[in-house]
Amino acid sequence: MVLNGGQAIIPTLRMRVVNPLALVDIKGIPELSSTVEVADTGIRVGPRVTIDRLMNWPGIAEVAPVLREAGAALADAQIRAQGTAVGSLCWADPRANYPVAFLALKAVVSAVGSKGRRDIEIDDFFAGYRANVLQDELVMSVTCPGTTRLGFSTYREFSRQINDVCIVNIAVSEVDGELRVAVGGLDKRPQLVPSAAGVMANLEEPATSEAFMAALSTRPVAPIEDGQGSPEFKLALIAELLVEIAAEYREAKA
Amino acid sequence: MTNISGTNNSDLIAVQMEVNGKTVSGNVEGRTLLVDFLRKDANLRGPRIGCEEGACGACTVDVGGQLTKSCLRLAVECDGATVRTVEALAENGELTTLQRAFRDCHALQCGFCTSGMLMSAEALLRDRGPEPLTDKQIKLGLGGNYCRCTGYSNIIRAIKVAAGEAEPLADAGDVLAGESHVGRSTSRKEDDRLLRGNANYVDNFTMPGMLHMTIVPSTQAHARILNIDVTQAKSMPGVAAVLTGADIAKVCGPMSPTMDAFGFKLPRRMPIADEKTIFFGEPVALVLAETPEIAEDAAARVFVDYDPLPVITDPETSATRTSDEPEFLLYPEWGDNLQTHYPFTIGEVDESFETAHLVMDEVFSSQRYSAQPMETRGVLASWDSDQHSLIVRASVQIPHQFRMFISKTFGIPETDIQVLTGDIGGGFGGKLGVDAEYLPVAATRILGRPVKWIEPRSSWTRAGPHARDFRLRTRGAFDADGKLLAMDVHVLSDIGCDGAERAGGLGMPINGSVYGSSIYDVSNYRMLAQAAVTNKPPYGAYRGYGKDIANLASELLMERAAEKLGINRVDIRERNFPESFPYRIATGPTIEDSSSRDCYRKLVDKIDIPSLEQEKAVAQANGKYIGYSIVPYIEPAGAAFPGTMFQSYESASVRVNSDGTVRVFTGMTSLGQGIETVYAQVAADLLGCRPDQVRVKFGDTNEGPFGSGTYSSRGAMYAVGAIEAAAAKILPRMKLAASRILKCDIGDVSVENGVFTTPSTNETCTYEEVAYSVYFQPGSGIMLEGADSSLLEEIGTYLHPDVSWEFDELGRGQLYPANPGGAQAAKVEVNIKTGRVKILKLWLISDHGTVLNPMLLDGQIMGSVMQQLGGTMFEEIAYDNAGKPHTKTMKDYGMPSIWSTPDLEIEHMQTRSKATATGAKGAGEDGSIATTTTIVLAVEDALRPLGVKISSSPLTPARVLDLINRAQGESKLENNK
Repeated sequence: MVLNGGQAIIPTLRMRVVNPLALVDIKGIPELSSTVEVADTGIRVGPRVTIDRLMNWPGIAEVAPVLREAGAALADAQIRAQGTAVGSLCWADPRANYPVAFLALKAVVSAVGSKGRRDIEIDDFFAGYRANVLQDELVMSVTCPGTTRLGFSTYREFSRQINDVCIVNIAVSEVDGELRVAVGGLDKRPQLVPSAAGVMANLEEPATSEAFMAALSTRPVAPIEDGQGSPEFKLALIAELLVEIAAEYREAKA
Repeated sequence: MTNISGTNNSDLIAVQMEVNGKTVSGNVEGRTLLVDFLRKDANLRGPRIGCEEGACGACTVDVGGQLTKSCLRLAVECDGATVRTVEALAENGELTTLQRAFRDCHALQCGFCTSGMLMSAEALLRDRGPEPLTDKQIKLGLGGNYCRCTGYSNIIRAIKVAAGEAEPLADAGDVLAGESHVGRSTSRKEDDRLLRGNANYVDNFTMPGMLHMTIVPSTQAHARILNIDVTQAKSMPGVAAVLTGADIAKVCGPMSPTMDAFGFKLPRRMPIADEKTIFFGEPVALVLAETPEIAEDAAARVFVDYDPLPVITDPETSATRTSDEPEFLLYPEWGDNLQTHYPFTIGEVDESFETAHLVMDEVFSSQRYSAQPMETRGVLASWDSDQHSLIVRASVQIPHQFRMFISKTFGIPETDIQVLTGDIGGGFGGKLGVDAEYLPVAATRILGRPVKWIEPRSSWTRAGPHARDFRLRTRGAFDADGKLLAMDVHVLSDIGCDGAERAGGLGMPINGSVYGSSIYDVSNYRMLAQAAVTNKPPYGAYRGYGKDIANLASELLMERAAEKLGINRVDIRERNFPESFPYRIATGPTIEDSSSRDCYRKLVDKIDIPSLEQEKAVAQANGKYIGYSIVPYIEPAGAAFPGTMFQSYESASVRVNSDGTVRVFTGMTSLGQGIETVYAQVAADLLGCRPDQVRVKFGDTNEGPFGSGTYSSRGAMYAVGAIEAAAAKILPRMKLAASRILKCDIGDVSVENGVFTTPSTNETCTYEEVAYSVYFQPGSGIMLEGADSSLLEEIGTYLHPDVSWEFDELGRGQLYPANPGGAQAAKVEVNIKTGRVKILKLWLISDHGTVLNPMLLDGQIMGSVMQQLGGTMFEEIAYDNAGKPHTKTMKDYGMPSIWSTPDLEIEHMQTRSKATATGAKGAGEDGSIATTTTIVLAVEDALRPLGVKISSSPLTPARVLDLINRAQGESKLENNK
């Protein structure tokens, strides 16, 4: 297993949930960047960029507020200082903040392994509960569309206490004029919900929770058992968060 | 402690770091955590471990300028790094502005979390911008540090003080002539060491030859143990022994009960399962090894064969089982599953219900949760057979009684046992029970080497004492004016495997029903307290101790009857307050004064009900749901139950030393209450010296007289009373000696702030001069000639006069001598789309008689409010039908973080107690009593248009939304009819 920021892996090891043959610390590899590039052509996030660093990187709050908001709502100062956004993506917990954020942003994951380098569309990246499609590969960067292609974006979550483990979370982003709604907590992996994006994008009428519930009902739901409520409850929460975001979106478009 | 499994970790890796300016190197395993390197190789005590998941933040340090939880970094990752810990904060030995702000805002109690809290606060202040700090910024900065004691609001304030944006809470300046030390908000003496990371929690101690103990927990809630295979574990390098029940039985008998009274049935079990397991997590074997890591590795290779037995998880079913179904009895010899069945009736209950205008029949059940102090349980035990000496360092609230229990359980004479507690990282009742604490004692007795056990958080959650988990049914008979004519209260608690032998929780359902009428006047009363055993961990004492149940029992009736009868909810309570005080409640105890009612009236004025009603109406017009509630409460304090660890006296030993300093030894322990400070304030007033002359010692059974310990909000009455008794004997001797130095009549000697004077000559002498004259120059023979004793040392005891162990012919007694009271109010907003309850504001007015230290009392109140808020809203240890806990981590559990800090306003009234010299009553549990009631009733008030009634906690969004949806579904059905 790969040890990057280690903020998710180490507790899992301590509780002996996983027992890897080896743990490889990648922090010293010079090719793994700890910088962010914000350009017209794309936002490139290096695998060593901590959440704190990404949140506060010049331009991020203006160009892709979803990346800042997802970070601010993540755990705590210590974990934001050590954990990395790419690590959070690779850990692929369905309720984690960066998987939905990168999914909404239509990111491309660039990985390198023994078979060479490849680019993976974010839509194809998640393989299941805390699982991704990487083989014997390391992520070299995650690239989101650049300033010219990005519009509105935001992040919302619902948890028992603020910055607690999410029950559900949502990232929304406008890419090339198309709204993308990514939802965590509905399934074993974060999900894109185009039908909900359709409701939100329709500025003709204010989006209601009923409309979102109808949109969400078009897809099967299989949330993880976290003792935090029934699938119906989680759907209701998502619908309410979507109503909030839709109002914000309308305002941004007005 | 590291417990990452480590099959291939035998190769040690050399690492070197600069820690607090010093180069530290060591050889570590690949899996060694930074926190373990700092504690072991760098010999630091500040970074601490409160969990295994990187949640609590007590281990927070700075690595290379970045804040980090040192339990979430491997030592090898930090090779070559620069590390700063809490120990490096103080500059040239002086506390920093931030540390002083924490002290002067009472931003710490037990101190266990403080090291990490300070590191996070320092980083926040370092990285802040030029604008004033907002609460949100502070919460973002400290959200990763849990505190169980303070309720966080004083921490937030301390950070603002350090930033120059708020004033400290402590009284500044010296005490002026004629002023007393009692009543001042004095900063705490204990804080200096706690702020430097230097406290002496049990995990800070090591001994040569020490072994580390790990418990192999049962993975079956109820099963016969067929075989335990220890061969693999035993053969691992570094493993000294693997012990099972059969080994332990050679040195250890059944556990000495902590409560053996009121006909409670006792399981008479050993602290380890021998033939069968009775809860998931019960110890089945012990591994003793050279390091905690090896012990953990070996524990994973102990293999146990079980033959499952029927598992009992539901208390209501359990309560109905009889000897007809012995397979469903946890202890077949009992004949049922009820550890206690405690009925009481007085007056004409049935008749009142039959003729009543209105009968209310209400239920409320609470989930299972627990005290969860930041420091888990821990023991370091060392047996020396040559010296016949057993020394036990332990995180327990009752050291002397623990010594007695060890003596009885192991058959070791008490004289040969010394129990030391040191600083305790929080207790809240959770460290009153004793079970797994016996196991390191058994191991050292068998192996002859010191044995240390520090309980992992998951084990505390899985096997430590649990609380609440009750089902309350409360019935009330009312007349048309809302006068309560009769009550019938039934409390059934799920006490897990035991609530009396190994843990003292059985008083909780009993209190819940004995005090079910709260301060209301009702003479016809029936109660039944039942404690049903299940295959779960034991039921232990937890702050509130059933007074929370009692408060719900009466207030649910009042609130809902008022609604039914169309009476204003303040009026209905006014109509039911006793006409005069002292008032003897139906079950026997006497409420000594009207303080609870008076606090209630004061709070009614304070919260301004008309404006709250208006706010509610405006909110409703805008589709928002705001509600409020206000209730009185009583806090029976100073529990004194014969035949239990809740004893009716306390002791103190007071000595004036030859250098004029004063040493007070108390039988209480220090869990964060501030006893070193408050008792010094008291002793200073009583002895005419300065608080800084007084050192308060505790937690060493070799040092002072037998003491009862810390429980039941008793210190301000019992411990202070004992100090008074001792001081009252010493002061005349000091004055006598002073009169001989000042060459005046003893009646002409006065003393204040450590200086004796006589007005006739204006001559003075100091405490030190007087004490030295008694001890040495010329000595007691001359200076104390004619006195009642030659010593400046006395043992004092205090027995509260208002305890009555003699029950009258109707079965009424008084086991709590004092009933301080208060009132609490809440304002909440409920989002009916998500079920989220937002606590907008809490108010609390309490009366504890004379307030000894207002800042510290408020700290106790804030902390208890936050704990009960956590229990009402989030906290839960959930079980499945096989008796397996779902809740593993602190995050699963729902520990309240700084983000949940409520806006809480506190005030005090001070009706002096007639029973204590200072006039103080007990304090410490206020918030634990009525917080659930006020939040529940405020939520119901907010949702009144929908007709939602809440009958269980926690008030999670899922549960509240479900109630709302059901109520709306019902009203739709009604409309369709």
